[in-house]
Order: sequence, then structure tokens, then C-alpha cells
Amino acid sequence: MKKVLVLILALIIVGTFGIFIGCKSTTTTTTAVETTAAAETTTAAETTAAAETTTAAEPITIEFWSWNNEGAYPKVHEDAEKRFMAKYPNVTIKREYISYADYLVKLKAALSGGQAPDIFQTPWAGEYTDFARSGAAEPMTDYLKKDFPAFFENVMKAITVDGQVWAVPLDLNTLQIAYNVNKFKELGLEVPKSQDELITLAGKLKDAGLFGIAQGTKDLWTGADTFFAEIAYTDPTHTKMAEADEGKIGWDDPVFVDAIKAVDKLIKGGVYAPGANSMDAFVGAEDLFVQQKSAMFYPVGNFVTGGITEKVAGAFEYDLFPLPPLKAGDQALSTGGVAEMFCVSKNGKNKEMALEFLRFLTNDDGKAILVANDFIPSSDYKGDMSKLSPLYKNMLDAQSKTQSRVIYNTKVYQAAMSGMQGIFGQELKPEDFIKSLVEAAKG
Amino acid sequence: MLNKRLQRIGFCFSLPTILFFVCFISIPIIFTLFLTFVSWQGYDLAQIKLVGIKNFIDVFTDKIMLKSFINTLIFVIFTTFFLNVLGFFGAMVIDQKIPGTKFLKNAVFLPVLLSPIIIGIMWSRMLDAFGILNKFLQAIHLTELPILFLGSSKLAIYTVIAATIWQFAGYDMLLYYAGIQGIPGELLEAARIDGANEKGVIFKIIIPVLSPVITITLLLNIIGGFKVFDIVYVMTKGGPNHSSDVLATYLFQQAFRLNNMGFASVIAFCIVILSLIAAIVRLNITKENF
Amino acid sequence: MKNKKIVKNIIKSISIYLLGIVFLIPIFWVFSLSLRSKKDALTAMFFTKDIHLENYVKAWKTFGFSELYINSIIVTLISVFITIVIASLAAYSFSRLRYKGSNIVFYMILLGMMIPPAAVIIPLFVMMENLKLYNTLFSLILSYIAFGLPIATLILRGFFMSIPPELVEAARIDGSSEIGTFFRIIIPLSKPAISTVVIFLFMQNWNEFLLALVLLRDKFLYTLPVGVANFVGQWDSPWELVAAGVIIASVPVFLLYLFLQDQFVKGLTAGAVKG
Repeated sequence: MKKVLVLILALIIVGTFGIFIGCKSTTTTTTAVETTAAAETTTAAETTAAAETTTAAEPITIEFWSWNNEGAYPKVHEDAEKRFMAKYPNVTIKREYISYADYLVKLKAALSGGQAPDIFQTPWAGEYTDFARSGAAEPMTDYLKKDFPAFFENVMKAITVDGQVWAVPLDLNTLQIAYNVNKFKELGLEVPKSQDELITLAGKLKDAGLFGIAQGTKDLWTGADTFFAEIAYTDPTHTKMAEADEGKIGWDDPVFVDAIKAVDKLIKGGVYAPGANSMDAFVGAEDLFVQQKSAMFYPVGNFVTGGITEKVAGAFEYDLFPLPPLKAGDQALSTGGVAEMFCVSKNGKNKEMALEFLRFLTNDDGKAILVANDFIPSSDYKGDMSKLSPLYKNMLDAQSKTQSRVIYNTKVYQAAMSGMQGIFGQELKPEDFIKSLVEAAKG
Repeated sequence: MLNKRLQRIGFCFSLPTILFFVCFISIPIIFTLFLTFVSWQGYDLAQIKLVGIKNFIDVFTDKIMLKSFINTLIFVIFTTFFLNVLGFFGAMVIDQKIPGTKFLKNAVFLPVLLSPIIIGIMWSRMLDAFGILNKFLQAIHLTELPILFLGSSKLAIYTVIAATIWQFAGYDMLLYYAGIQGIPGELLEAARIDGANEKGVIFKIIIPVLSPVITITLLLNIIGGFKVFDIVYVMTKGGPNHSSDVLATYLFQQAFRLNNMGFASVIAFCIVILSLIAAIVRLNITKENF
Repeated sequence: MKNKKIVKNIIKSISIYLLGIVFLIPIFWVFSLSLRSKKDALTAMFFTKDIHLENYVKAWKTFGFSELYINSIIVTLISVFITIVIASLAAYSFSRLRYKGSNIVFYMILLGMMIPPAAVIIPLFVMMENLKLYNTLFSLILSYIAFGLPIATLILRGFFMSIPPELVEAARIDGSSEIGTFFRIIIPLSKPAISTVVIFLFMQNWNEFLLALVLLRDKFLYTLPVGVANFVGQWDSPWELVAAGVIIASVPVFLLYLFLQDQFVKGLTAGAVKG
């Protein structure tokens, strides 16, 4: 009997401990990653003297979720947070970074349980439309007219779904091919002006023992981007992808067939390094480029140039060029779009403050810090552009000619990504790729 | 049957377990069953719409579902077979009283203790087209071009199977080893005195005596195989182009990428039913008094 | 004659050691990765001349291991302990205190083993949210108990069935209550089986990822698997630190196994094995 009592007592103690620890206060502020005191529950959000603020004086916490936990994005967010909290000391911004691979799972669970964060970064393909249509995101079109900068028109068009804009775009990016300037010079090669020239170039690289374009399609999305890059050339009107997405035309339209055939031709021409499907986009593939085993690398934009520069560590110089056009003499176009984009939760309790924070991210100060970190703001920046690196100027220039890389229909997008793996592995025929898109569009 | 009083006490003993089961397992199962009849994106409970058996029709006419199902069967059969065979012979090896067996036992069991996510990341890096294994094969002139272990549609699932076997061989090996410890030494002695050779001892005595071990090990391997997710997801995400998709990874894609909760729930149900069938068949074949 | 046998044994020994080492090559590789500099992280083949033991310290601080460890320990210890208490009671009732329908209940519990976790996260999440347990370690503890009960019950039931019924009878005749018998006789005899269950459950709960990812919202609640995975970025991950982190995270499980391994085997022998 005594033993039973001891056991039950132990269970109660342990259980209470567990609940106590478990229900750790959720209003603590922890933005830094390293915390030392773990077991003690911290008290409610620290508030500084809340006297001089124009808004309500009770402490408010705004939750902000993003997956860009590396590179300079956290710096950009932190800068906005500092400026924001200078004006609103009673409001705390709680920034959470969740790794990209797990972000959607966690966000979805939170949304379905009614626990959405006030501000959440949104991927800007199918999930964006899903957030919009499911009512998770607050429609932003009207808010964006109040005290927000004038975002570029084509950006706004790209993120309009069902007639509304559902997120605030922060910055833009483009996707181009990075190339090893030193190796090119060494072998007397020039930036190709057409895709046929690209194939010849790859042949010369092969003779010199180098691979062409290192591209990792294991994470699926890079393959689809190659497809979009071709469509930018096969469809001079630049409207057919959106039309197919909306179901107005079929995916078996000649522009898409030509695009996939062009990709297939490049692959058969030996342009790409082997093993695309077994490489992650930025691990294995980037590694080949950094180690100078592959003279080119795709896709590269401002999101990864910092990392590449760091890894290359001065061993060679690199620059960017977009996928060359099909016909020599045509203008070279890159694909790109919005990089970071933030939705405001429809059921959030502090929407006004959330919007205010987004204003701080996107205002002139915000733009300045974006530019300082090689990011491209989503609205016109009139500041000092003289000290920018040549790489940045290249990307900025590409941005002005950039074409869409979005398919909002999730099923079609998934089919495209998956199908491209088949194309890169030369196990899927172009006709069957098109068929799978048409199938998916029906679903 | 025991008397009523003892039966009542017995029931009380199992009550906490039953409560946990009902709360945390049966309710989610029932909810998942409910979801098989709805169309739902998974964001807002208020948006659930009943659609009858549409999801079932979609699932059973889906080509990728068929591929996932076949891959899962391949996975279950290959892993179960090799894990048991290697486990059994491994157990025989470490049963000997020579130095090194304890080291081998622990070495082989160590991967079992690691998270499948770590194992997946580890193997992905090593099996990269330019990773250590390919470099090694090229260095000893066995191959010239890199073998695309994870990048080729034909090889991907088998590579994942190999990594799984590496991880869990120790698990089966330890189960068999424990089983062998339980064989009375006299039985083996008697057989040897009677003139049986090693092969005979193995097949006519050890295996039959170990038959409950074999049952449980097979069962655990099969059930684990049907619901495998982590290692496949980390190594290939089910690719390239769905060639290594198993039921659980396809479920995950449907639920969390395509937001098709109804469809995903049907797949979940298939996994449970398949495991159940396997368990029932296995137990009935040997008519074990389980 | 004897020499031949000794030589044979030596050869066997050496091959066994070699086999063990070859088997562990992937783990040595991870270890080598954890010692590299960031530049070499993915380019080096195996061990580099440049050794960076400080990666471990860096990983510890950057990942916030102190907190991750504490959370993992709380969740794992509590869930394992409670699971064993509850499961052993149930296992006893499925073996020595059987009642009408107890076999059906047992098979039902086993059903819990067959569920793919990905299928139940959303319903489980919604339930936890409604119980106001979302974003607490408690929600994880409860989930882990529920998912650990099947295997624990299976092993313990098997073991209990091998305990001679006469012992229980004798205790009953002596006037002991059922629960008294259970705690004073059965449990002490079951150390091997309990060790086995401890290892299985510890391993399962310590490494569990999906539920921890979904049910824990705040960073300071993260358990080890989620904490380490969070550092794998979209474009760039500190692989050498992740490797160090993985090794740090795996140490306790391995130590536990080494510590309990003899009991573990005994427990398997009688428990899982006799069905």
C-alpha cells in the first residue's frame, strides 16, 4: 500500500512538474537563439515604460513567422523590428524562424488549429492561392493603399488572386546562371547568346574536363524553373502561362510543347552536370560549382550569391547571365518574382499593429537596408545606388526584364516539378510530360 | 477464466491504457476515417464538405497511388527478408565466444538508436553522385561514371531499402540473439551428440524453437515497413518523379503540399488496413497461440 | 589440432572486428564531418588534417543545446516512466488477470502500432488545441505515452506470461492484494523486460520529430530533433555544426543502451521472444 501511495505521489509531482514546464508562458520574448535559463517560466512580455505611445498602452505581442533563417534576411527583419519598437515600445515582435522543409507542415497545423501567427511568410505558388481561398489570409488590397509604398505593377499583378492581393511583397529576385569567369577566360569562352551556343559551349567544357550547368533537382522546384525559363522565350506574349493556369487554354498549347522540347534538347546536348536528381538545389550542385568541377550553376539569385561568394572565398570570379534565348540576337530574359512575401492572419487579434510592422519593413528605411544586403526591394528605391556591387547591378538589371515563374494551380505545379525530374533523368518523354500537366489540370 | 473479482481488478489494471488509447488514438483514427468522406484543405474546420466516396474513387484510380503501393510492397518484402536473414545469421555470429562479438553487436545496433532523419541525411550525402561512395568506386576502378544511387528512378527505392537494412539489421539481430540465448543448451548438445551437422542443427532445431521470435520479428518488420516515412522522405522525398514514393510519403505530399486532406486520409486508412491484414495473415499461418 | 582452432578463431575475431568497423563507416563519416571547417564541410572526403573540435562548442551554443537537452529529457523521462507504469498494469491484466474480452482489448492496443504518424498529426493537433495543451511539453508527453503503449504492452505481456503462475498463487493465498502482488513480486522480477521497454521507448521518444515539430510552437520548448533540424536552412546549412549537433544529440541514447544492454537482452529473451 505504501508503495502505491509513493508511486501516486511521484506521479503527481512528476505530472505537475511536467504541466508546469509544459505550460511555459507563451508570452515570453525570445528572439535570440541562445537562451540559458530554460526551466523557469518567464513572466509576461517585458514592457518598457509605455507612456509615450499613440496606440493602446497594454503590452501586445505580434508573432512573425519566416523560414529565411540564414543569410542576411534575419538582419533585415531585425532592423525593421528595432525601428518599429522604437516607435511602439509596448509592442513586441516575436520572430520565429522555422526551417524551410518543415515550415508548411507547422504553419498548416497552426492554421487548422486556429493558432495562426499574426504575420506569416507565404510561399508564392499554390500555397499562396490556398491561403487566400481558405480564408487564412487577410485581403490586403485596401490596406496597401494606406501608407504603403507603391509596389511595382507587375509584382502586384503576379500576386493577385481572385481579384485581390493577399500578401505584402518585401523583395524580389531573379534566377540566372552563374558562371566561372576565370575558367571561361582560360578556355576562351564567351557568354552564349543562344541555346545552341550554350550546347557548343558545354561541349568545349567537356573537352576540358568540366561539367556544364550544375543543377540540383532533388528538391523539385529548380526543374520547374528551367521549364519556365524556356516558356519566357517560346511565348513572346508572356501571357500564356497565366492563361493555362486559369484554365483558359490547355497545357498542350504549342508554346509549352516547344518549351519542354527545348529543355530536352539542352539535356541531350550535355549542358547539365550528371546526377541532377540526386543533388539538392544548393548543396551538391553548388558544391560542384564552388569546387570548379562545373563551370556554371543554376539557379542563382541574390538569395544565394552571398553564400556562394563566401564559399568561393576569392578562388575565382563569377558573374551571372540568364538562360540564353532560342534565337541568337533575341533579348535574354530571366525569370523571377517575389522573394519574401507576408500574409496577415485573418483571425489575428492585432492586425493593425501587424500591418504597421509590415509598413516598417517596406518603407524607405526598410528599402535601404534591403539594398545594403544585396536584396531588391519590391517598390522603387530612390536612394544612393552608387556603391552597389557589379553583381547586384547585374541582378537589378535582370529584374527589369524578368518573366513569371508562377503556376498557382498546385496540382499542375507539382506535376511540373515531378515531371521535370523525369526529364532531367531522361526517363520521361516530353510528350508524356505535357500529358501529365494536362491530366493534373483536369483534377 | 478467473473469478469475477479478479476479472474486475484486471479490467481496472488495463483502464488507464484503454483511456489513453481511446483519447489519443481512437479519436484521431475516427477523425481520419471521417476525413475520408470529405473534401478539405486542412486550414479551416468550418470548410469541411462531405463528398461521399469520391476520395476513394480518386485514390484507387490514381497512377501514383498504384506506384506508391507497389513501392511499399517492395519495401516491406525486401527489408523484411534481408533484415531477418542478416539478423539471424548475425545473431549466430555474435553468439560465438570469441573476442570481438560484443563490439560487433554494439556496432551493428548503434544505427538503430539514431534518428531516421540523421540516417537519411548521412546516407544522402555519402551516396551523392560526387560523394564518398562514388569516389571510392571510381578510385578502385569499379565504375567510371558516378552511379546515381538516389537520382535514378530505377535505383532510388532500392537505395533507401539498403539504408534501412543498414539501420535496422541490429534490431532484428538482437531479437534473434536474445532468442538464441533462450534455447536450452541441452537441446543443442543432444542434437550434436546424435551426430547432426551444423546445418541440421540450425534448420531442425534452432529455427523451430525460435518460431515465436520469428513471428514477432516478422510482424514488427512488416508493420514498420508499411508505415515507413522518415527515411524515404529525407533521402529522396519520394522522387525522382515519384519513383520511390511509398504510401506514407505520398500521403504526406497530398496532405501538406496538395492540401487534399480527404485523399490523404484514404491513403492513411490503406496503410492501417494493410498492416492489419498482414498481422492477421501472419498469425493465422503459424496458428500461434499469440 | 589446437593450434588450427586458435588460428581459426583469431581469423574469425579479426573479421568480426573488421565487419564492425566497416559497418560503422557512415557514422565515422558523420564524425569526420563534425570536425571540419565550414569550407571543407562538404568537399572533404573523410577526415581532414584541419580538425575543429570547437564545432561542438559552437553547435552547443548556436543550437541552444542546454535548453534542447532539458526539454528532451523532461519529455522523454516523464513519458517513458508513465508509459511503463500504465503499460505494465495493462500487460499484467492481459496475461495473469485476464478478463472477458481482454484479448480483444489487447489487439486493439496493438492497432496503435500500425498508424502512420503523418496521418494523425492534424487530428491530434486539433485535439490538443481544444484541450488548451497546444504548445506545451505536456501535449508531447501525452502523445508519446499513447504511441508507446502498444510496444510496451506487447513486450511486458510476453514477459509476464513467463513468470510461473505459482508465485502469484502463493502470494494470493498469503492474503496479498492483487496490486500488492503486482508491485512487490512481479515488478522486481521484471527488471530485464522493463529495461528492454525503457530502451525501446527512450529511443522512440528521444528521436521523435513530427509530433514535436507540430505540437511545439515556441523555440524554447523545442526538443532535440526539432532543434537540430531547424538549422538546416533553405540554401545554406552549417553542415559541420549539424553533424556535431547530431552526435551530441545521440549520446544519451547510446549511453543508456550501453548501460542497460545486458538487462536489455535478457528482457528481449523472455519478453518479446516468447510472444
